[in-house]
Amino acid sequence: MGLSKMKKGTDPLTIDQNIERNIEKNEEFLRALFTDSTDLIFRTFSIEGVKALLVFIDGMVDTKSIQFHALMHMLTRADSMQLNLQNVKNQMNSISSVNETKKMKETVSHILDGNCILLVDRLDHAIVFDAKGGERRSVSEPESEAAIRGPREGFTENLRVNTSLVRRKLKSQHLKLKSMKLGEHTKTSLAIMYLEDVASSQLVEEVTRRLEKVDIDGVLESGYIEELIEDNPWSFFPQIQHTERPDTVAANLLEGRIAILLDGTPFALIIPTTFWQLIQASEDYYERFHISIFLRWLRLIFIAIALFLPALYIAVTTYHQEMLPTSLLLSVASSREAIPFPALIEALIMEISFEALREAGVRLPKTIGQAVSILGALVVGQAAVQAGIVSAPMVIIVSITGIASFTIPRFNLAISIRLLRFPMMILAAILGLYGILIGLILLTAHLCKLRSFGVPYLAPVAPLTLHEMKDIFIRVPWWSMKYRPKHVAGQNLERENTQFPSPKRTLRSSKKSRTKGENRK
Amino acid sequence: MKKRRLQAALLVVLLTSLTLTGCWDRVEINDLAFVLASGFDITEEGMFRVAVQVPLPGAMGGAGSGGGGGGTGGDKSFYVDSGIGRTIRAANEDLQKRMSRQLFFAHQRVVIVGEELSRKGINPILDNITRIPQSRLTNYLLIAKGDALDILNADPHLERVPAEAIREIAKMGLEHDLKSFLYEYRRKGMDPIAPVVEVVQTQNKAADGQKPEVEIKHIGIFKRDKLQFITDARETNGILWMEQRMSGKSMTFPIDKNQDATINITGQSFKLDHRVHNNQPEFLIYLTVKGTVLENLSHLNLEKPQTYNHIENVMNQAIESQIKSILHKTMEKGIDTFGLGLHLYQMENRLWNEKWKHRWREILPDLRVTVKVDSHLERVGNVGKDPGEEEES
Amino acid sequence: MKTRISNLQLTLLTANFITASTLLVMPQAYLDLSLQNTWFVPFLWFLLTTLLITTAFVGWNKIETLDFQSDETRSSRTGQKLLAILMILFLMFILIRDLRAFTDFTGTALLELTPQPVIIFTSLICLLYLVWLGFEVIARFNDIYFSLLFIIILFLPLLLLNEIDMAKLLPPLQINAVPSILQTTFVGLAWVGELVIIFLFVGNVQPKSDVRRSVIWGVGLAVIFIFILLGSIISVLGSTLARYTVYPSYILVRQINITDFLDRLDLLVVSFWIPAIFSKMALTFYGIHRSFNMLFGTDTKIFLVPLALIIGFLSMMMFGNNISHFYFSIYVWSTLGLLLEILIVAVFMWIVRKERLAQSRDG
Repeated sequence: MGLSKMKKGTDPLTIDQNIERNIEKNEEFLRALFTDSTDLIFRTFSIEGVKALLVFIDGMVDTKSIQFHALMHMLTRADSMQLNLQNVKNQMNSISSVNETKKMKETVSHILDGNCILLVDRLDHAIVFDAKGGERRSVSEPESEAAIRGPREGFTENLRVNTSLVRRKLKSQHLKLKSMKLGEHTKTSLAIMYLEDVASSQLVEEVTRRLEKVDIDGVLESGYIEELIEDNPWSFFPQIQHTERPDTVAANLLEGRIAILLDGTPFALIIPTTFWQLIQASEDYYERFHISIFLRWLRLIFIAIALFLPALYIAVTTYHQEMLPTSLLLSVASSREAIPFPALIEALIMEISFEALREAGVRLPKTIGQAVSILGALVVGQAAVQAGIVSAPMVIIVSITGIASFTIPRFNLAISIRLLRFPMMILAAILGLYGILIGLILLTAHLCKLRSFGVPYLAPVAPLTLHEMKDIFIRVPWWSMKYRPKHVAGQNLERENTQFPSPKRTLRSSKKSRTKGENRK
Repeated sequence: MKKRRLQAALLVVLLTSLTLTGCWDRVEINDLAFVLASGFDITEEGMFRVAVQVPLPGAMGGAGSGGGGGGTGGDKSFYVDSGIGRTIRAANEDLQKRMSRQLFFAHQRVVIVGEELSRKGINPILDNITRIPQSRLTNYLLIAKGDALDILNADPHLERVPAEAIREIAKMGLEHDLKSFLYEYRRKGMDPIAPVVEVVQTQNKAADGQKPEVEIKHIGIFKRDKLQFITDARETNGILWMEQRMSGKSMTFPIDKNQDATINITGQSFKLDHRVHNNQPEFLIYLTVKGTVLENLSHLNLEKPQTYNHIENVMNQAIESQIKSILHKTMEKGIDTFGLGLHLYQMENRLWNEKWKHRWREILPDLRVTVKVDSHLERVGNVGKDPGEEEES
Repeated sequence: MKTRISNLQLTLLTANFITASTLLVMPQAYLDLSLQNTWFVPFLWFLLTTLLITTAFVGWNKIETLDFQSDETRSSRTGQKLLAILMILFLMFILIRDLRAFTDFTGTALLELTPQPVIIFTSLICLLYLVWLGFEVIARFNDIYFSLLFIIILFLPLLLLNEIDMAKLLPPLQINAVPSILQTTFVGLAWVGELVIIFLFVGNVQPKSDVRRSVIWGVGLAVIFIFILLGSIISVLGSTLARYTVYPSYILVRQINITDFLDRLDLLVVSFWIPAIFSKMALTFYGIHRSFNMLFGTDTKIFLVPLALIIGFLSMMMFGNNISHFYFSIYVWSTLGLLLEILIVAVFMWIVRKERLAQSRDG
């Protein structure tokens, strides 16, 4: 109804126009624009007889602060002052962040953003009160990246909260934050965070450039952006890391990487990403380094197992029976005696039903999920072995493979490995060990080809840089982590100047370091 | 973009074409007959009789086979069959014709050659075993007393498959695998040896306790690839001393008026040295032995230092005579079991090439070899005295 | 973007190019000639190759760039074309020979019944993919697999500890063995000299001034590799037994026997060796591809698929059986290869000289 009225009107406002001095016209326009939007609140009141209008979306604005810091002031303190833009903006409210705009388009976008708009008759400006509020999930433990030791806070769906979480960890004027809006309809805010004195400026430019090229109707999760800006869209492998943990983001910023935070999702993106980053957990850096080294090797071995074990089993039992120790071979042979399927089919049956079990378990509520796993793993597995449909070694292989794929700290890498297991199995069934090697060679070649924002995916192993190996297969103790990774950080490579922490050394070298420090000044 | 799509299409076509054709070498584990041991004999017509020992997976009692068991049950967990042919492979093929599963040799750990064939020369077997990629040099090569086929039919109690029992026993004894045999055979100035395996009955008086067991007690001495003779107990020990395989074993000898003691050998070292005298080599074999007393049937008091010296002296003589018995016997026959020639090749290369190489077997019987043994008793065990000794109060 | 590799990568590429095929054919021929003294031969190769490389890089640091891919190189087109033709001939021989050696090995050790064309075909797919992805990727691929292989080789004597018998190395370096050692040195020189392929890529190395040192380091690594391998073969198998086998390296890793249970690690070790062989073949293939582009002054991948087909056919047709292949690899190649290598070095030196003159004229 409003819309038709607007169309008939002699001087209809368009969205590109400026705010009219006549408040009636503005109100009419806004009401027409937001017709059938019952969550929009129009609150008319008068200041000293002049009509004023507050517009905001219910639920996105902190109504209490509007009540106490805007409405109350204007209704009570207006008498003493002249009603002009400066006074309304600076004196007649006690809201912490106030802006004004002349454009209707911006006004609308502010309303949609969850700001509160004040329109006053005879003023051709809209005054924007930043009083975002409403119910949001509070900061809680990151569920997808639990850690035994380390901060317990995780990102929320609110961009401001998230940036502040990072800002609280990096209290540096060098921490920069570029903002951008993506999505024609979602208008999702996005923040590019980096440490100006560490990250390479070319990288920042490149990221900005790629984000600017994005033209899409909506961005609901950082996964959209990930797929839209990565280097090799066809690859199986994730080229951008995502994380729920502010400490992970902070640590990566300190290494010279860039983080993209997105409103509406607790998952921040980290750019550039290497393969090795995806098999490291934040706890590697918090716990003692010995266990980190052990765990990293364990993960590497289990990645290999997750990728190759079923294929190797097929290759060994159907092509290279000489590879198994005799006693083991005989027990495998005896348990396979009654199995009607060839090894490949047997393996596929088990692997696929395992994947199905996992998928069923993930989506179900926790209590039912347990029932599914008991039914699937215990009952069906046991029965299948007893009925002679699958052999016991195969069940063991599949279980180990399943466990192995859970040891990968990043879920998105685990997905790639899970998928690639199947081609490996088929290659093994066609050409045995040689087939697996063919698969391995093609896979490694592909990984060597990948780049994430210009950084080779396997760096620093391929291309090999010996002095960068301190944080790949091992994690050197912090007092030895002198430099930032060179293949990532653009500048300012020196990371710390801590002495080796030993009382003797400290005494001896404190003098030296003091003189050194003075020299530097 | 177009190029990329072409690339992808090409790859897909190639891969699918592979899946359609593939699998030439694919053999399921249950279509294979794993040969754990082979036995080679020669028939009266001069043909090879090759026997194989194959375990029956169904009877091996794997954890998962409870339900099925396949068609391969039976009371024995293995079976033995043999084929006859002009070559070893032909004999295998002959055997294959009545086997539902393909013969697979990669798990063969024991190769047994019948006595008669060994005396005729085992070169054909060596060729067959080393030529096929499936077989390994880590096989144990053994000589059978009698026919190899009989050895494979023995049924030792402690292991499920005789091959495993034979392998374990062979490993405890000389530990002489195919690689060593081949090395000795191919090297000029050395002749190979191989342990001799035989079948004996379980020494049990119960009626059903009589079962054939395998035993390795003797060693076969070869000249090139031909078996010359089989050692007796003394000579066997002599070889074990020379091959440094006596550690952990024990030796028994009279120490006082035909009253014996058993000494456990805890360590030994062996050194072969030579001297050239008038263009003729002379050898010195130097042996140090460490031992502890396991058993003492004499009434000598082991707490006295003199007794120690006495036992050590007797032990020296005993070991020396063991070594000398085999050494002289082989050298007289022109057999260089201990690689004296090889030692000269390594140490006196020039002289070896010029003077000795060509008529080594003729020189061998006339060579002088000195054996020097130096034994040390280290401990006497938990008791020092004879248990029957009367207490002097 | 300009293709670029680091000096360390060049070192590893060189080392891998020399050592990768030791699994397939190399040591047996040498053991046949100089028996237990073969372990000494790598050091002679090192001396000779260092000499060769030092000569080849005379005047190298006086020129600014030498990039066969771009037009920046001002030296005569003739020189480049000559180099390209020689390289094509040289690398074709290497690739065909290696591919055939590889298929023969696969047929013996991995897949006995699978027809040869299938193995050649699948290998070529892998090679095509690697070459398609370009030089940098091959270099990175090589980094991973050569490092792995090298570590395994370093640990090989440890794994074989209970099999090693030092007496098998006796008698060491007796006088009358000198002719045979020299003969082996000559026969093997063409193999080690295959590293001249890196002259195609020296323009891609940054920083350029360290190139000579990196190549010599690469030869050094290769020499250590071959030394350990030959030493283990001789001390474990003995030279008499080793020369009796066709693949001594393979027989050697079959002897690994850590406990009774873990005595079948051979195929596992081979699985680390095969990618290194692929890395060598891919580099060779890439060299042919680049030489063709140099010859015609193009930058296209259009040659790749036909080239792969030709190579596949030739490696099947050129050798009737593996004995003729063996004969070619050892006896023909030791003279033919050496001749080509010397020619390539000469042409390279000529190009560098012309380039230097051209640049000093401009400067």
